[in-house]
Amino acid sequence: MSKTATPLQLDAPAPRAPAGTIERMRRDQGVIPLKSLDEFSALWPEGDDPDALLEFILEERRERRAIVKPEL
Amino acid sequence: MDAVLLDTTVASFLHPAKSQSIGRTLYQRYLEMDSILICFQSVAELYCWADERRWGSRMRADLDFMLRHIIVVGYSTDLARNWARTKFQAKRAGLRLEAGDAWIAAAAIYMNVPLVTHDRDFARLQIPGLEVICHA
Repeated sequence: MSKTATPLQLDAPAPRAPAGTIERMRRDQGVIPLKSLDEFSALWPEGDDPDALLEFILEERRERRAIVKPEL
Repeated sequence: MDAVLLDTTVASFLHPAKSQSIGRTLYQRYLEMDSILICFQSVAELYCWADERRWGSRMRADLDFMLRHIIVVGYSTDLARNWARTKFQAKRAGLRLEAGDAWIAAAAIYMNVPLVTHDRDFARLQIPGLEVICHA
């Protein structure tokens, strides 16, 4: 059988997660349910600086992106 | 079910100090969705931040506990297939996608959920199957 018999459809996305995957992951990971956004927010480590975090992430990404050529 | 993939940049708006911020307001409806997902790449970026700030064991334990409330999209063969396809499609569109960015984009595509980000570089990605919500 020819190795090129079935051309790949590279315009299409690769396989998606099947239905129910989110619930399976939630169960498998033992994710703790939240009642509110405030409850979620209160979990952030005390003493951290969110503005510095955002700037750090964006700067780290700028540095990583500068390593790869932006345009072919 | 309402679900989104949170980028690390939007996770910063979860901080209590941002509760009255414009950023929190812009993303609030997504932060309140039934299912909040995060890519393993974002988890790594948060650990990178903890190292950068030389967090002690207490803050690192707090971060780990916070992450237990979020569904982490970890490595799988199908996610890797999506990563490769995402890189290919970006390259064909004239953009060389950085590996970490590609994991985040691929995780959103694979899970079939919008990517919520405050990083405007994601907003200009034109990749089939990728929906980006960005208010940066």
